[in-house]
Parts: sequence; C-alpha cells; structure tokens
Amino acid sequence: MEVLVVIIFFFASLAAALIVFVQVEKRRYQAEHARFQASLNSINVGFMITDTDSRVIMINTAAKQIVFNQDKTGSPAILRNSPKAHFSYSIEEIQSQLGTAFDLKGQIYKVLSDKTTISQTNIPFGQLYLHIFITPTVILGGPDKLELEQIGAVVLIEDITQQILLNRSKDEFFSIASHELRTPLTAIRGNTALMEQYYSDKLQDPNLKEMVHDIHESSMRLINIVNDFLDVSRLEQGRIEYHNATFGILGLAKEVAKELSPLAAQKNIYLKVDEPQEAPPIVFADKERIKQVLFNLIGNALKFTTQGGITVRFTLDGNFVKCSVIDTGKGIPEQNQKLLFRKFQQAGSNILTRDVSGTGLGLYISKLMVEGQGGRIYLEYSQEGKGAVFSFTLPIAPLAQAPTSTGKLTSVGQT
Amino acid sequence: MTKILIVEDDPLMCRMYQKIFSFENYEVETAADGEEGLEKARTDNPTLILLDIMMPKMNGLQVLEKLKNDPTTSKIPVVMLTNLAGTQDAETALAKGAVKYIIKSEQEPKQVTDMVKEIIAGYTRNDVPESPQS
Repeated sequence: MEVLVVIIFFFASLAAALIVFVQVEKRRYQAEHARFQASLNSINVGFMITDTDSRVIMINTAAKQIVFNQDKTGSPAILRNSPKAHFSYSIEEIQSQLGTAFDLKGQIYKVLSDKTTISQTNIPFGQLYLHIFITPTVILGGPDKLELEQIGAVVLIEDITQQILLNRSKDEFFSIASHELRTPLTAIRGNTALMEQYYSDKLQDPNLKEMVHDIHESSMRLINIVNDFLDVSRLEQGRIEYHNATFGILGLAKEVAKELSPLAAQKNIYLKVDEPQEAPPIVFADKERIKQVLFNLIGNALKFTTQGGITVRFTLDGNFVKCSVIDTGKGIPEQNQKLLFRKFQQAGSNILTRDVSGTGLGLYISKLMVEGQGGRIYLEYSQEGKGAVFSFTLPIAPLAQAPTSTGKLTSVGQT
Repeated sequence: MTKILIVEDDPLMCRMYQKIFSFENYEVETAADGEEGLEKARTDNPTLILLDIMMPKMNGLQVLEKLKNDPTTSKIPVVMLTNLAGTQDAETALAKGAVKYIIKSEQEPKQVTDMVKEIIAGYTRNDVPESPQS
C-alpha cells in the first residue's frame, strides 16, 4: 500500500513537473512569440510569413495598414482602426484587397516552386505605390539535416509613395530650374553684352562701364553655377544620355586649348597640346561631354598656375587613350588629394580661403562623366609647389564601330 | 532687306533677340507662340526663322515639322532656340531639318548674329537644302 502511494506520489510529482515544464516552455514560447510580434509591429515595412500552403502565419501592423486601411478614393487612413486589428488575415482576404494590383498568391506560389526571390517595385495600389519583395523561408532538413527545406515564404510590402512623390518633385524642380532660372539670367547676360557692344559711347564713365561689365560677368558666373548644379543632379540620377560616337581626341583638345588660349596669354603662361609622332587612336565617347571634361581640367590648371604653363599629352594605355593635363602650378597638398573628386571640394586647403571662384563641382562632374563613358579619371601626380598631372582615359573605338560613324569622323577632322 | 522672324513666347527673350538683330539692321518680326509663328512664316516670307522649342499652343518641333512640309516655307532656314546643351529636343530638331541650334544661355549676342550671318550667306550662294541636314 505504501509502495503504491509512493509510486502514485512519484508519478503525480512527475506529471506535475511535466506540467510545470510544459507550462514554462509554453510561456517561453509565448514570450518569444510576443517579442517577435512586437518587433515586427514596430517596423514600418509590411511583413508577412506564410507556410507552404500560402496560409498567413504572421502579419505585422504595417502590412495590415498598407493593405486594409486604405481609403480607395483618398489618402490612406492610417489612424482608422482595422476591424480585425488583433487577428490575422487569410491570403484570400489580402488578395481580394490587392485586387489586380498584384497577384500575391500566384507570386508566392512561384517563389516556392522556383525557389527564387521576387522583387517588384512601383506597383500602383489605390493612392499608393508599393514595393513587394517575396523570398522563401528555408531550414536545414532531410535525414542528415543537410538539405534546404522550404517551410514557407516571407513577404515584405513597402509603401514607397513618398519616395515616388519626392522623385517627381525633384524632376519638376530640375525642369523649372533649367528653364525658369536660366531665362532671366540669359536676359541679363544678353542685354549687358548688347549695352557693351552697341552703347560703349554712352558708357564713358569708367564706373558705369565697370558696373555693366560686372553685371555681365556675374550673370555668366551664375549661369555656370546653375549648369553645374543641373549637371550634378542629372548625372547622379543617371539622367544624362551620352551620344557616343567616334572622334579624334587630339583635335578636340586643340580646339579647347585654342578657346582657352586668351586666358593663358592673359596670365602670361603657355598652353600647348603635345603633337605625338602618331596621332592617338580614335576614341568612342560623347564629344560634347569630353569637351566639358577637357575644359574643366585645363581650366583648373589655368586657375592654379601663375608661372610656366600647361601641357596636354596623349599616351596609350591598353585599350584606352590616356589624356594628361600637366601643369606647373601650385600643386595640391597631400592631405587634400583624396578629397579632390568629391562633391563641393576645392584643391585649396581651407574652405574659408577660397582663392579661386567656382562651385567645387567641376572635378566631381568630370569624374561622373568619364566613368559614365567607361573611362577613369585621377590625379596622377602632384606635389605642393611643383604642379599637378590630372589624367583621364577613354576607350579606343573598336574597328567594328568605324563604318557607322565615318561621316562624323571626317567632319571632326575638318573642324 | 533681310528679315528675321523670331518665334519665342518669353517676352524677355523675344525683346532681347529683337534688339540683337535690329541693332545689326535686320528687319525683325516676332511671334509669341507656335501658331502665330507658323502664320507669320507663311505670310511674311522671312529670310530666316529663330524658333524656340518650349512654347504654348504648338511647340517648336511641331512648328518645324509643319514649316518643312509646306512648300511655301520649306526653304526658309530655321535656327532653334534651346535652353540646354545636348538635349534630345535639339538633336531631333536637327534631324527634322533645322540648320543649327542656339543655346540661349551660352551664346553671346555677337555669336548669334555671326552665326545667322554665316547661315544666310551660305544659303544665298547655294540654295537652301530642303532635305534634313545636321
């Protein structure tokens, strides 16, 4: 009898311990679950987990809000309480909300069957734009725990409406800036030029003459700044189209040097383009943009050189033509060399001692342009007080491309 | 007398180009939008047309197309006025038969008149080509 009691007591304690254990485990599981759900709810990207039969196992608040709390005719009513705020939704309910905007069920099926990831952006959904990302959830399974076993999918639903609206307003800003800023500046520039050209006899007073001249100079400087800013924005957004063609880089460099030679003469320094024994090969790039790069590099060299001068030289570099602009100017202190090609940088050592005018965007723009055409641009050498060598490379035109652009090639030769 | 038709909707720009050419003793006509420009090109028989691209009613490219398709105007050289260098619009205009384009913010008045003089001189020697050229 006593034995029986002991045995019963033993089993009872065992059962009790087991119950406690199960309860502890259940509690731990619940705690984990609560933490997980709370973490998910705290992020503002819609998040869902489904099993292999596309049943929704977990869905966070953001996903519910994006899919359900949207007034189809107006803006999303974020604050409106969802009728099923504390419940989960079936995939069918979610699909019926999405309608034809996105085939969620089908795409989840595709992800699971193809073992792939799907990412689709700019999905119009009512007043919103969504980015939906689906990826399979896998664990190590199989007898040896070495095979990847799919246990469902993770769906991320992101509301990207604000980003899209922001980009649109950026685009509008650029067209407004390019048109509305330039027009009055052009009128200032043109009219002051006309005054200087046709009314010089009325501009006898040296002060008046200087004022008109300064207005003219200022308008040109402003136009250049507007151009630089627009170039940067278009380059950064990848909105610049390169009209690539084959052309002779030597001729182009000579053209630029000729245009800038009055500036060099004014400073009493030389500006020459080295004539190699054999002309550098024809390159394949956007002539206008490369002209801009040459203007920039030679212009910079002119700005920082007061003695000696500037030499433009061409060498071959594998499948590239390398163009180097060599100056005998003030050079660039070592600590500033790394920053040269960054936005708003000037070679001088201190932002408060800007000894030359400019936005500090020139080299940055040149870098984006050269790289956009498959080349490289870099500071090859510089030492303070001993000048600098800036180089850029451009791809040599493949022979196959020559027949299509021979017309352009000869016209370049003529100019 | 050499007559220039300026088709430009912005009064600031229009007045400026008007001065540029009248100071050089050209006769100048102006039009404030594409439709008016097309009308004046047909009735006033200008020697050369300066044509802005962005305009109300009918944009410059549409006007250009109509000018080139009309036998009474197809031989008048057209120079486009544009805001930006290397834009698709300017390239399209050249393909459609415009002779050259002027980037408004970049060319000084003197450069503009020099360019126009050159074009007019070239086209009185050899007839104005009807076919598109760049």
